[in-house]
Amino acid sequence: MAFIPVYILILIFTIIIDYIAGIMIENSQGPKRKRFLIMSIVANVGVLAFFKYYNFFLGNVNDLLHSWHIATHPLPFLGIILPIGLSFHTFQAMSYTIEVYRGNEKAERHFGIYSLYVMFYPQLVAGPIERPQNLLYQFREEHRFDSQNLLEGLRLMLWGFFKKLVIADRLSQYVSTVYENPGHYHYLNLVIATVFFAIQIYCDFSGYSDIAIGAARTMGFKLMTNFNRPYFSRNIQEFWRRWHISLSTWFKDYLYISLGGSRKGVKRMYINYAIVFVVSGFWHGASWTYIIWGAIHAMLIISYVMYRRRFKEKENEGWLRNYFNTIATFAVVCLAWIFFRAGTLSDALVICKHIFGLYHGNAFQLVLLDSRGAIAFTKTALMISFSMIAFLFLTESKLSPPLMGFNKRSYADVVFMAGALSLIVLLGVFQNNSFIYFQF
Amino acid sequence: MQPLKRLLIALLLVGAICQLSFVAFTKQVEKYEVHNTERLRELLLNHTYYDLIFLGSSRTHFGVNPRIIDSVCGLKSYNAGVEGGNLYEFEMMLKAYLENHPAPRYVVLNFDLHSFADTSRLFNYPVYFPYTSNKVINAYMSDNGYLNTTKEILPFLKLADYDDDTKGVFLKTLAGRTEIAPGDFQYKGYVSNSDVTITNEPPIVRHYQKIADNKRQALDRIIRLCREKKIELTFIYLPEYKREYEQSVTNSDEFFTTVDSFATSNHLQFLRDDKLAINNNPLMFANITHLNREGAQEYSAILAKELQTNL
Repeated sequence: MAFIPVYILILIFTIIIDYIAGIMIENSQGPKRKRFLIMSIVANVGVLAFFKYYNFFLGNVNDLLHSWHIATHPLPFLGIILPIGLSFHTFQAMSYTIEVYRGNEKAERHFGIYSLYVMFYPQLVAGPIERPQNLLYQFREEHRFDSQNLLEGLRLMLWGFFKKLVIADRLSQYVSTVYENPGHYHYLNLVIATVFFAIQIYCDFSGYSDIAIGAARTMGFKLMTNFNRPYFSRNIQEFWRRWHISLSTWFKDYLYISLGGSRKGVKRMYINYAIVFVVSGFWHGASWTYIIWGAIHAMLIISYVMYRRRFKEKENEGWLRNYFNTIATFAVVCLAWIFFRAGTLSDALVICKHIFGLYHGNAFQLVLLDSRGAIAFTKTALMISFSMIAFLFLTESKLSPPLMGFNKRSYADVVFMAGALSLIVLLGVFQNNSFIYFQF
Repeated sequence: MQPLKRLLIALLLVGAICQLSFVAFTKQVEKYEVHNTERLRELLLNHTYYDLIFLGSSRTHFGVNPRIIDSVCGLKSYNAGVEGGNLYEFEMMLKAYLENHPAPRYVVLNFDLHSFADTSRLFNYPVYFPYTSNKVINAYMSDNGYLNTTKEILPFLKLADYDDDTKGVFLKTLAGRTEIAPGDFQYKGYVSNSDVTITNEPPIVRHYQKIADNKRQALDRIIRLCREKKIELTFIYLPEYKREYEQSVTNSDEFFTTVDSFATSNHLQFLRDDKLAINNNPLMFANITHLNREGAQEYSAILAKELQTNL
């Protein structure tokens, strides 16, 4: 993942293709419309496949040829780097041509406005992946300075920075130390690292989304909500309605429904779920660990839907049952995160084996040491982490982002903003850590 | 309340909360870090004359006790070892020391395998914040971007530079603790490193340690500065457990050849103490690179005799 100026040409290439495709789809009739849509999808997916998946496929082909003793010289890898934000803006561009094709959106004739739709800076790099019907019209409206928008935007950005700098970047120190050398640690250290990663990735990614949505809001633009307290979900289906909403709805709207959704029978519906989640895993990264992460979620969703088809959900499950369900959902999500975070498939399997085998070959470390014996995470860091996580969940259990509940409570708002910013200054980790989702 | 008014009040509150926290924090750090505060004040702000200064990293800091050196050699010495330091920081310490103090007669420079590492940053720079009235420290801190106008106007922004462990000092001080653990002691820049011993030997992880040109130049400048100030410079390499760290660095030969060639071409002593009998005794080490309290006592006596012969 990198920003290389010349890669702007890739963005310009896809913008031109999709801009023309949109107009041609609108102006055409019959099978021609589909041809232009396919042209647009091939261009977008082609660029993505080349930059993101070419070396992955080549690596697998090499391995296969090697295991069959066919090739003596491996096929050469290309020295290409994934352009920053490519997965996000190609998906956003595709949603435009698909919506025009479906007749839900008119083709944008203004090249500047269309380019802005793809390149709108707050969400260009890591989403939310917007839809034309939510964003395009906003570029045609006049946006005057509005102090209320400024306040709401800055408040949300502040919350995003709090999540990123105070929680995510602190937890990442623990997580990377353990996941770098997982075979070396006691099972409890592995459990803590995995739970920390679940919280780290939430704070990192939802933090970025809050910053993006907040930055757009300061200028008067409203972007879609991307996270809705996912770890409060009581089942895996609810989790996916609350986690990375812009991507999961993208897959639902453009892949699941296109595959037939639930209209072609139960078996086909399960297959569609499997396809969507495996593709979603592959979208995240060109590695088997991501594919397996997607496959695990597919299995979880399918199992849950099968269970629900047999045992209908009650209106009110009771608070104890709800707590249990929430914790169980969090646990299975954490289990899947192991594959998402592990450097290799064998690392992920070692972690699972050690956690479930209650591995205690090496002593549990309260003060975490790295493989060279240097202190990587102190008791103070642990204390700060736990208290800030509690603060995060307490705040979000009362007020979910975009934190609009503060609009009517002036003093609470002032205390919240002053508290969040003070915590960033006092407890933030400032080590130039980039956002996890920038690599996708 | 108007949105802009809310923002303004929140910002003012943040300024007040953070500044108060910063003042309280620095006071607590000073109380907790009794050893560091005393030694850095002595080295960077005071004017006392010392015959001998020990430069180096934490291995020097925890490994050389000036009390033993002084009693054997009849000198007045001070330990100026800095945690994680490389030649960049050693050069800064020497220059900063000379800024206020008369030149010592001797400087003993201890090398580590990472002394020539290709990084020009101060390992734990926040410790120098209270000493920026020393011109050299100020210049190094500013050159690295650790000190700037924004931090001078809003001093509480320096809080962002402290790590979690230092932030935890606040609670530790309230519990009545200081950085000197029970049973340990300090003396002229030295602090004893507990009675922990090596109980298990972790596997050796091998890595390459670059010998950077800019660190060769830093060493060259240290040599020239000592010559200019008529300071007798001696190189040493402190004991390490079973030379395990040397084995972990794939190019340790290159490191020793480099130091040797500097010593030879400048007619300086290079005392290698990594082959002494003490190196094989796990009871003398807190970990593979650092002597413990007893190890430092024993080694300081050996070093004192070596210095007595060679200085």
